[in-house]
Amino acid sequence: MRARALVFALALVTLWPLRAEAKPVAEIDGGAVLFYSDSLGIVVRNGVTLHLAGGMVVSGDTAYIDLRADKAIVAGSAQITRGAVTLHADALAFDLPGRKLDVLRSDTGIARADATLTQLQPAPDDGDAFAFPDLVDRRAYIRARHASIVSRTSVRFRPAAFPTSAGAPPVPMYLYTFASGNGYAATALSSAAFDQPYGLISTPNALTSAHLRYLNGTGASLGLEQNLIDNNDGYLAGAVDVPIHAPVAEGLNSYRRLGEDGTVSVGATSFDGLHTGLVGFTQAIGTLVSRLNYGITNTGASSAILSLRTRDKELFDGITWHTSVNYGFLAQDGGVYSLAPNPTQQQTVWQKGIDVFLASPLIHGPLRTTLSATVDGSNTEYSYPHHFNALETNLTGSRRLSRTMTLFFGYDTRWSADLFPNAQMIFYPPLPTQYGYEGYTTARLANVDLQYVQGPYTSVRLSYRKADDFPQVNYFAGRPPNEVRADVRVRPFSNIGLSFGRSYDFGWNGSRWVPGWNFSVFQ
Amino acid sequence: MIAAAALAAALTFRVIPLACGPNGLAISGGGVLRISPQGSCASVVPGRAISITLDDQTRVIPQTLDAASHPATEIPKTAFSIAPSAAAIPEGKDITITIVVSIPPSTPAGSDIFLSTERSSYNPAEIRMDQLDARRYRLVLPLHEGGRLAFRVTRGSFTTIERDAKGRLPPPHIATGQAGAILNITVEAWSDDT
Repeated sequence: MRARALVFALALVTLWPLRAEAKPVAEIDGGAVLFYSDSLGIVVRNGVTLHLAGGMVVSGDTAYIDLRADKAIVAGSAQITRGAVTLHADALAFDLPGRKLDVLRSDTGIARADATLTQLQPAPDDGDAFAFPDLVDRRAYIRARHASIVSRTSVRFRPAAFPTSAGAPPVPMYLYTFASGNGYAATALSSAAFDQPYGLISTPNALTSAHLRYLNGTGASLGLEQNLIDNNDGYLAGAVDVPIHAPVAEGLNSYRRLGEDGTVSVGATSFDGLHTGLVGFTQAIGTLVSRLNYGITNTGASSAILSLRTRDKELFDGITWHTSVNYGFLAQDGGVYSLAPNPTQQQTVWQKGIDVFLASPLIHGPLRTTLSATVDGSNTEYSYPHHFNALETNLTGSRRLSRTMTLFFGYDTRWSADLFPNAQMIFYPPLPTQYGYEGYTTARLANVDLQYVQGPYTSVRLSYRKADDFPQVNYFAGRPPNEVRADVRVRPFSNIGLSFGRSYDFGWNGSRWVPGWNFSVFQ
Repeated sequence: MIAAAALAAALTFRVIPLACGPNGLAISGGGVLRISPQGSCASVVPGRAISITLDDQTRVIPQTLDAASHPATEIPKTAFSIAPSAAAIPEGKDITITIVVSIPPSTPAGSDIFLSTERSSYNPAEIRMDQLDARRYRLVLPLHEGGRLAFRVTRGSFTTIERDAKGRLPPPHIATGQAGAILNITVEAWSDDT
């Protein structure tokens, strides 16, 4: 508990200063309030009334509100009232606090009104303020009767419907957040096959949202997340995930920039009695990036690794490379190596490692083909006599079959050796044949994918992966021998698209197909 | 002059009316057009696009919307009783833009690349991109002309979101709605890089 409290306190310290104000700058009521997400615009038809934060009331036949610029136009029998004073016009253009007001009358043209609405000064060059965009009703993303705008942050629609050619699914309320800031993308929830956020409360520095989720293997889940944001400089995201058929999971994720070149991040998770905490720092040093990651669990395990990595640089003929070195420790109460003769003597093991990565350029061949390759080798030495070596290779090719169809193929290999000099039999004791794993592994994966893309509206990708690993035992080691997968992206309605994927693993000792899937809705 | 008026009279123009009355037809951009005695405000709904034709004295006659109408910027200046001062106003056409993402060579093989946009509150697995080759992915996206979209690039989760070359979270990319625009993005690094 103390560790969790400490992690939470550290995460809070990473954020400052936070200002929270969610007072709406305008409340809109209208016959039809139509929201266009890609222009961040609202068009109101069939009569409109705007209540501005300063107490002014504006009404008319129609309105356009530019959420990005915090500007509005009310047209057709327009009038604005402040206290006892009412001003009539053919159209009114104003910023949302209502401090700047332009008046359009067909007989006199454009004039600028003062704060009391009693004085008008000609302003013939202010036509831009009356630019009413040509937006088509059927392309609206949301249709509502009421909208409440928080300046440069969010807009809340009540009740909201999502019009499509096949109907308009309604919800009682929908909060659309358009504030900028890295923290709005942050999440402390685990990855899910389906995750649909539903905003509840938004301020310029915070967002509270519910998440309707589906996790492969766990089932349906409801997440609740709170994000606190400091522009692009920092955030804190805390979440509780409540699956129907699994224990509750909690998460915390925070980040802050440290000066121009550094960052700090703090994270924590809690699931089914296992609690973890993570603290990470990055610092750019010239063309190098250093990282320090520290992790701890309530099971007595901890680790700290300091690494230094070069950026990708060209070696020759388009071949690029980077390298990294690392140094740190692994610690475990009772001993890092439970199979060692005296495990308690190795409760902390130091390590140092090096990794070298090489990548070929993308080579364009005949018949509209491309080919590229990578090689990655690493060696890690431990203070307890032990070293781990790995070598990975990848070859990826593509061939464009037609304007819409492309074939991809790839072959990956990974060899690793986990070696304990003079003690290999202790750490890898003899086991039955299929588990006969003596510290050496081989993993090979061949894949072929066929992709069909038709403009922005349709994309289909069919994939087959064949894994040949050693060891390769169902639910013990290695990957499923076979996987087939289909990913489809379609846009059945002009304003809503669907993306879904379905995969099957099969071939584990004759086991049945094991399905997995993912799904998302987009605009 | 007469020939120009005759030519204009044969054309229809698309306008967004703001108000219509005895003093004229006020349109988007702040201009006011003179109404022809043959015309009527009866069919004019403020904020909803209509077509207009011009009579022989370049006064307007409101019509139902004709998709083949010319843009309002081509209306002869003589038709206005009060000239508009606004620049050309986007007509809100549906266009497509193309986003091409180049990924680092060290990206794990077989990764799916996603766009995560403000439209979904940045769902990290919102739209799967199409693969061009081993290092580039592409997405053709419908957008309103003049529209705007903020987005991030991920490998499907927030723990695999893009980072810049110094290991920092970059601000979102911004795509703007210009017909045929191609936006090239280079991902320098991923959050889970070691």
